[in-house]
Amino acid sequence: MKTSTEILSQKTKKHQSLNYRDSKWGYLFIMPMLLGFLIATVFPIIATFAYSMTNKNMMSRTTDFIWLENYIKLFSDKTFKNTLVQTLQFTLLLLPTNLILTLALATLLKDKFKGCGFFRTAVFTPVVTSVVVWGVLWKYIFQSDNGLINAVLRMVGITGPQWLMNVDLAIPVSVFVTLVKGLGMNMIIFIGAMLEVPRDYYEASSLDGATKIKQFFYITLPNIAPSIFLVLILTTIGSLKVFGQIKALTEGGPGTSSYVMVYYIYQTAFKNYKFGYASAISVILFLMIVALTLLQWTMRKRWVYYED
Amino acid sequence: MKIEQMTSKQLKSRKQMKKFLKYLVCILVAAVMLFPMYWLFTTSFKTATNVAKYPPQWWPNPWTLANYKELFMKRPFIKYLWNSIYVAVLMTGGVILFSSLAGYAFAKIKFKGNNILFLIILCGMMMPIEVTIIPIYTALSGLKLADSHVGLIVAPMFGYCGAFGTFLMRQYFLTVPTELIEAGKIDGASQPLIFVKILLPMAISSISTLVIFSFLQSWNDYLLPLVLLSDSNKFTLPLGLSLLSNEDGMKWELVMAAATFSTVPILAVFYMCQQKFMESLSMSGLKG
Amino acid sequence: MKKLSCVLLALAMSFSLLAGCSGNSQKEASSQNSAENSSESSSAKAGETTELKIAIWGDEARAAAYKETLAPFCEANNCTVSIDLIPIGDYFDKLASQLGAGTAPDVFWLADAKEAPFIQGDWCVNLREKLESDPDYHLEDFYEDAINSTDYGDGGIYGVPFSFGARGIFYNKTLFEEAGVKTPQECVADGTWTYETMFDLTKQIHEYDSTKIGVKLWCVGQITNGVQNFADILSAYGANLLNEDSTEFILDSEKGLAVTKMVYDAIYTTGGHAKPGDDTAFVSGNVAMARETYSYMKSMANGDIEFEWDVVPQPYGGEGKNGKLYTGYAYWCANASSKQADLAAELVKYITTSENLLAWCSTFMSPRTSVMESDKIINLGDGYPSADKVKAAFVDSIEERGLFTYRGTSQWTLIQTVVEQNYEMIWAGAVSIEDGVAQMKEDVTALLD
Repeated sequence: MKTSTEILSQKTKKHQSLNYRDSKWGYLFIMPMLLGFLIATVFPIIATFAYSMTNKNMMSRTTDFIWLENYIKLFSDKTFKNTLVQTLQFTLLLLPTNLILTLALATLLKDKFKGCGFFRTAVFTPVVTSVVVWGVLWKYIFQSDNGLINAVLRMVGITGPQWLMNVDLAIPVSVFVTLVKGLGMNMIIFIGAMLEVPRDYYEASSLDGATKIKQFFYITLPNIAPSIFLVLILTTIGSLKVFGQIKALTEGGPGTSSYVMVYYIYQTAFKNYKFGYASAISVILFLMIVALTLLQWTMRKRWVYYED
Repeated sequence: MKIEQMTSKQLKSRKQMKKFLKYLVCILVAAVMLFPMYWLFTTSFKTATNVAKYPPQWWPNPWTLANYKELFMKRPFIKYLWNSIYVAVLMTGGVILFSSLAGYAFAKIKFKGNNILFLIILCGMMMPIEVTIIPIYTALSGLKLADSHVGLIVAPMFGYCGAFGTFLMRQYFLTVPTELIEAGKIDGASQPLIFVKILLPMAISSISTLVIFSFLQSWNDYLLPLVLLSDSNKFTLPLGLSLLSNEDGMKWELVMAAATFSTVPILAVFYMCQQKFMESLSMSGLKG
Repeated sequence: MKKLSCVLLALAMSFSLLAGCSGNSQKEASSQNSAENSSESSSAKAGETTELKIAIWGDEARAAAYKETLAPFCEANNCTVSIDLIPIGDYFDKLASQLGAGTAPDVFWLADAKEAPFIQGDWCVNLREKLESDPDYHLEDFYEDAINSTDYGDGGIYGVPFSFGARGIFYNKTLFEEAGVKTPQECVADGTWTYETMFDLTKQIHEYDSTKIGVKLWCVGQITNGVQNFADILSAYGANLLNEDSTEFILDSEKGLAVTKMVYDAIYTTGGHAKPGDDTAFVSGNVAMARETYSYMKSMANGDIEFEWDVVPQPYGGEGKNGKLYTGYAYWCANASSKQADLAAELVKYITTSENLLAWCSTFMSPRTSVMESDKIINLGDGYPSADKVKAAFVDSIEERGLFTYRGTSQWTLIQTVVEQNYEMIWAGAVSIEDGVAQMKEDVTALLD
């Protein structure tokens, strides 16, 4: 007869060896992704950091280290400052509207009803089109003279503004186009999460007389919190890195009033051949995104509760 | 008796009103989303002169298949289509495999450096590809792999898509109760077996999302193929589309046709899949 | 953790070394090239088949056509040719990144004053000796300004121009007749074809039907090119964006501001000129007058156009016949850092002979006298305006008024961007014309060499 201590120590030993084996498996499982990641992503990032301290020009044969000169130049670069502000404007406009609208759409379309498949596909349609084609189509719609919107307005007697040639409208219009494109993807993430919330919760609460709105805020939202967090991070990163729409719609215009960080990076690297300087701007963007993501990451501990 | 009748009638009309509003909102939203697609689709069947007509032709008259004929017979769009398909499929397959493995490990397996390594992978989503493309291109051309599809498949697989996939799968696996895994372990199953037999089938909804996301990333990617590929035989669809403009401007009707057949098949697949996808979610009943 | 960071650091350093090395090896390669050139080309002719890579913009049909044109060259030199297509919007970006990585093609196109950094970076072979030494090539057949336009001070020819030309005004005859407005051709006939007249006709068309565009000074595909779009009208009034050798910004002269105001009024005050960003093509029948290139006639003739159209030369301005017309140039260049630089140069020479340029003249108007005086260039056949009209618009106008171009600078792409951005601020009504041009002066001057 084994004593309880012996049985316990046996179990602990098994548990310990399980843990050791676990570690092994853990490393093995992440090895391919990690290795590939190191080569395909980490190296280019480190290379970018390295290039940001050089004066590398796309077409020059020699490159010299100039250390922090690029960063010092950034301080007095007016375009850079404007770009920074405009990128933040874009993000601040996009983030809340995206979140609210996708939650609303997901709530609307999560239950099965006649035609729900059609509507879901409809909302997802813009996601499937390429950014460039989408941007070009909307550029046509927003054209000043004969674009669809101004043509319709003209029929009612209103002269529409130059949507894309207006310093105050360029960014909001770009946000709108980006919003419409991205709603579908986030919506299906939310629908997936919402459908996993057990029905009993809703049934129990409606027995207690809870309204749909109360149910939404007290049952749905807390239970899909990890997905909200996911979408929040993804949308933040995506909007800080926005590029394709701006290039297709406004090309950063009018003037530089819709310049965003990645567009400025692209212009500097590929049109002005100043790769070192562009790398420095990228590093700043990268650090910004890392900071914001870490912020959101630490905040998640407060409102997502089933991670350990 | 009267009050009850009135009340039930009121209830009925309120319900109908709600239903009507719901459909109205859905239709409005669908209209905004679908209108560009409608324009894309119909323009691809118009003749060149009718494309630029003002007021715009809402319904092509005459309908013509000339644009598609030109794309497939006079231009090598079949080749571009094939390239796009197999690059996207391979990339997506790789992402699913490697990110689900990694996501599971990060979520459930305790090992040293778990959190830090995960955060490093998360950071991979944050550097814009527009600038990392040059070091990638330099490295690949040094390895003589530049003008091939290898870069197109591997770079996103271990880059943005892989990082996103790992993040998504980790988020999902975090919601799987540990008891299930413990049960498997006590039964003597090894980690790979647990992974394949229990966890992967459960994660079907997240995997579907990842499939859609990765496939679209690869399908619509323009910058990576532009920088990495030189031989036009290796071009993917977005690149092939850009060849439809030259110094004389853009051939709208052809661009619309190419954009349409880049989009419509995927939409059809999504429409068919979303039913199954939503069904599998509502039946997962893990917590119900 | 510590181990990991050490490993990462080591790998990072090795990566950057790698990047640095590739830069150095190019320097060595190009200096070796000139020594090995002669031996390379002889070995190419000796027996092994070499492959030449060419980069152009365009589509597969154009690539196939060039392959055909080059077939005799390939046979004679025992080589094959592969043509890479680069989308025109990203052409220079991609070429620059290829040159930087050492994977650039042996032969490539350059254009639009953007060739300066490539030439000044020693990426193009100096073809002068090779071209001068062959009497059958007839170097003198080229327009002087054209062939010397890649000379940045050392008398070299770094690219052979194969495409140039003044734009003409295409107009929709049917629309003019409907509106009962005097046509540009009639104005030309009675000597009243000036910019003032043109804008007046614009106003009349706009009053007749406000949904029609009276005139479009920007060419298809160049809607956002403020440099090229206004070059002609500025020159017609004795103003310009930059001075002759691109060292000074001169748009802020009195005449320059007056012309800018004239265009602004045509867009916003009297109306009729296409708004910036408007992409309506002339083929749609919705545009009364459009300024387009010679090769645009091909697109017109090949589409099913339902209206009658015609071409006239560009209007005169205050300077009359002394107002030079603007042209850009596109060049064939040989890659100086290529291992087959000499063979590449031979190819450039072959493709730009009088015979071959004539073969392509319906697509590209070339600055060779033999091409410009040929019958082929004006007798284009059915669906095109008559030969005398084509001649008047595209050939005689050059003879009469002469051409000018902008001398490229090392940051030309950025100058183009900055000019357009400042024009946009004016169009957007965010600044007055004077302030807009003043800001443009500041921005451009900072970028001039």
